[in-house]
Amino acid sequence: MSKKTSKGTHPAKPSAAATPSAPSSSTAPEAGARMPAPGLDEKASRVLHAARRWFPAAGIVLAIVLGSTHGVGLAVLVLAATALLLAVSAIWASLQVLAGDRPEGIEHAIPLTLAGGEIEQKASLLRALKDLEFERSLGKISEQDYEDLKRTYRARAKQVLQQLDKQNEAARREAERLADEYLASRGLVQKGNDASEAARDAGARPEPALQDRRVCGACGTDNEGDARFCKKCGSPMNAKVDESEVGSDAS
Amino acid sequence: MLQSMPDLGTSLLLTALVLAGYTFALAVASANGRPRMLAAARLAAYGTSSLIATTILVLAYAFVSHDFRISYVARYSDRSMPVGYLIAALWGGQDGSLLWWLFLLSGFTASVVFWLRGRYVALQPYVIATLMVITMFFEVVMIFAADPFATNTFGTPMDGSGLNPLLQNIYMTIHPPSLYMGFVACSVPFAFAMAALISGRLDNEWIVAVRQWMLLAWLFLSIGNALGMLWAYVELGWGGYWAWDPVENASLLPWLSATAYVHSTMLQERRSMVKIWNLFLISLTFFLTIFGTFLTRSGVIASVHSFAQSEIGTYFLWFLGFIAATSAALIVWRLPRLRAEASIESPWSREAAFVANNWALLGATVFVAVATTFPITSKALLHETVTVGPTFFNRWMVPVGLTIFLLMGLAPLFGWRKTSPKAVRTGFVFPLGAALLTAVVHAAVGHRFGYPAIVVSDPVVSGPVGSVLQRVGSTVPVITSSLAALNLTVVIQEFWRGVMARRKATGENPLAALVGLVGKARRRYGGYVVHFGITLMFIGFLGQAWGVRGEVSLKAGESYTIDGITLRFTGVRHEADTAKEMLFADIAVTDRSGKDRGVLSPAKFAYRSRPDQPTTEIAVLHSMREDLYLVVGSVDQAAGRMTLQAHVNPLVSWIWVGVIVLVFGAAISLWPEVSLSQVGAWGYARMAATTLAGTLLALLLAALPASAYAFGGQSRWTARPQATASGAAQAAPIQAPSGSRR
Repeated sequence: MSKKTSKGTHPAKPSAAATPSAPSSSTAPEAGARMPAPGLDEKASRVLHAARRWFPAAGIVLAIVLGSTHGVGLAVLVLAATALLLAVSAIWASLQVLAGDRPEGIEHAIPLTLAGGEIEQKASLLRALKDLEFERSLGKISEQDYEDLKRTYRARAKQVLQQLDKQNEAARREAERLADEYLASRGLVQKGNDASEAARDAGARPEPALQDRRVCGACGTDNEGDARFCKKCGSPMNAKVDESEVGSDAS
Repeated sequence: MLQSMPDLGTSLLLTALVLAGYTFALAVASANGRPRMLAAARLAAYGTSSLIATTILVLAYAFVSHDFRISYVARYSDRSMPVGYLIAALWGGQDGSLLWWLFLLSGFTASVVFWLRGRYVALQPYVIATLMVITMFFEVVMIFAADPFATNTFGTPMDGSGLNPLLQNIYMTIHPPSLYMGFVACSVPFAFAMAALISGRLDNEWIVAVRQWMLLAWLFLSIGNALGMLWAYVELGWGGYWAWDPVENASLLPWLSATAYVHSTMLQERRSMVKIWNLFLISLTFFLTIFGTFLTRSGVIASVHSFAQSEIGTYFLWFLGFIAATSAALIVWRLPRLRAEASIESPWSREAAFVANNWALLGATVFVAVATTFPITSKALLHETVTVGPTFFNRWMVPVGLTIFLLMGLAPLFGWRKTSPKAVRTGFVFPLGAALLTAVVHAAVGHRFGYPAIVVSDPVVSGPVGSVLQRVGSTVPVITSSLAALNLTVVIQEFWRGVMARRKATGENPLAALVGLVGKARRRYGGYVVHFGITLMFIGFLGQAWGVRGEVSLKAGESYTIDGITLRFTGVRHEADTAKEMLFADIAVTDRSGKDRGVLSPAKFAYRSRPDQPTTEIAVLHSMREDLYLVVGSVDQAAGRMTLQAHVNPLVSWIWVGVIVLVFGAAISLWPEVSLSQVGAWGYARMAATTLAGTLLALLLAALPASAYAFGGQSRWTARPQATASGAAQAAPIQAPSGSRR
């Protein structure tokens, strides 16, 4: 409630503006426009936060205790008072966010820009792929249909994964920067390694070592070392069928 | 008693309306990519929900403290009512039930806002805005037309009028909340559909988002409908559980369309088909929930549920028009982006089976809706009110229901796109074989056990159509039993094949393979369990075909035999408590084998608050084979004579068992599919606990009737062994038992 919210302490994250889902960063200056409430330090703020969190539970417990000693009427009144205070607290917090007295605007903005629905989309498509494998194992679907459907699902999964990568790009860069700084502070790498930064900026990923790669037995295509299916023909890379491929659907 | 309680309540309603408007404005403003606005809207949504909770708690306090200054409290409670019924009276009348609707909606709104934290950012503003529009509608209706805090015009009475005796039972306390939970939960998928349409994000995103919410709504609609059947069975005293009453129908309608949706959503998820259809079904389901509330609350059609005619009907009609117009306009606006990316390639595919199932369910929805509203439409068009009776519904809905039952059995056997000839051979042989074998066995030996395969019924309509319907109706028993066999075999076969495939892959023992199989594919196998539950319910419905009914006037000591069961009237017993006078007719029961089954005591209750409205209290002897259901018509205590209605209802208990299985299956489907690595141990535990709590609530709701039976068995109709008196007088039947199983 009274966290420091000056411009310096909560700058607008570039990530907030970098994604299509929450493209605006115009609220950033508003976020730090007010000073913290006087007389409340960080510790008091944490106490207030915890109190707000446990307040409903405390109200319910008090209602049960008073209900058993003074009758149902008083218990209902205590519950009503608890709900009313919660309502006032939530509306007050909402107005604070709107006025810029509260950092939630920015704190919410960061998780808001992270992927949410896409993760479920990805999970849904992976389930669909596993379901397809399951149906093939039961003989409910022909090989041709299996291949066609698999191709469709994989294409959609690829789109979702690209979207996820795009959304997480800013956060990934920030994480890598922090990691580099940490490693540099420990003297493990040289700060400002131009080659690695250039590669990172270009979005390049380190190539796996040669011994990590595998060749498909069916079509001879070179695959990553951890591939379970050939990226070209879809044949299993292992002779043994993985446990998770059987019955792993959601429909 | 607080002096300003009525004013406080009305002020809270007004404030909640303002807050809902504030939240709506913030949500709409945040749609422009303003995270701060969205954060404020989310907090405001919590605030609005909390204030609505405060409002209903204030009303609850008014009931508990007997604040009869408030008209609603005075009309629906009195000082003799226990606390449980005082709380249940919250939804016992029109005004309070609207507030209850709103309270449940606010609970769902807070849950959705919490669930949406950090996900579906582009949809969130519109989801919150839509939910706020619905909230504002109910606020407006209450403030302007049905204020539950309105005071009495002619001063404060000393005592209230009391709750309608029909509503003073255990089902009243659990049936409306459960049904309303289902109704209100449909608002969430509707809000997502609107959000997808307005934002233009029409891919699978919203479909995945609403999956669990729709299943939850469907589960509560199922439980609510089942409890409604049970309430009708034990409280209305006409011997059946479904009378095609307008309000029963109104709660069935959204269940039918929601059932269609939970199947058609798979078509969009897997094949990117039927996008418009899914949006239509979601909108229709929500429309039907409001329509159901309208029918129940407006009193526009005569029903056992209807409240007095009131002006809220106009508000509801406007809102229904608004929902229909907005949904239709948005769908038409987005038509170019709603094209299917695939089509049905073969009639022997799961897609085709799902589409057929959807059409059958939608056909049933339209039929029930048209027939239910026929009194209104006939009055408008023909200037006379024509009411459609249960016989008409049964005659037409039975073939439709059996078609859906058949499709339910066949659909799991098909694969996506097309089913290969080999798959047809391996998949269809056993189920079809089982269905044929059952039909033959039933036809050959069914009558020996009292379950004949063919039961000839009277024609309902004249002409060739009537003749066809009559013939179809006569064969319903054998068709239903064979379709039940088909469905059971399909479910068993699907589990068997899955376990075998998994064992082959993993080498697990059968039990481990079964657990692993269900754990890895909860939605699929939970769905099969639901199919199993529905099959059991159909077996229960089938029993209606062999039901026997009789009515008789008996003097003390006389006996009456129905379907081989002897009922001996031993006399009238009078009891009283603080709330009512009770007249019990004690009837000793002897079953077909001559075994004494105790005494059943159907009764007439006269509540002191409503002495002119005596209620009929039934007595039932339950078993899995049949229920013996006794209703006392009239009692002449002085002459020691009474009229008795006796019903032998075969297989009814299977319906309630089916409902429990259905809830279990739906709970399996609802179990969260998140991984430990994704949300962490605490997150997973929280999700699992939430689902477990929801499931337990559902199971509790579904299982409560069992305890109610036990409770009722002790308090209302004590079944105690009693020797059969000799020299029983011959029964004087008023009406011969209709239908005979022997």
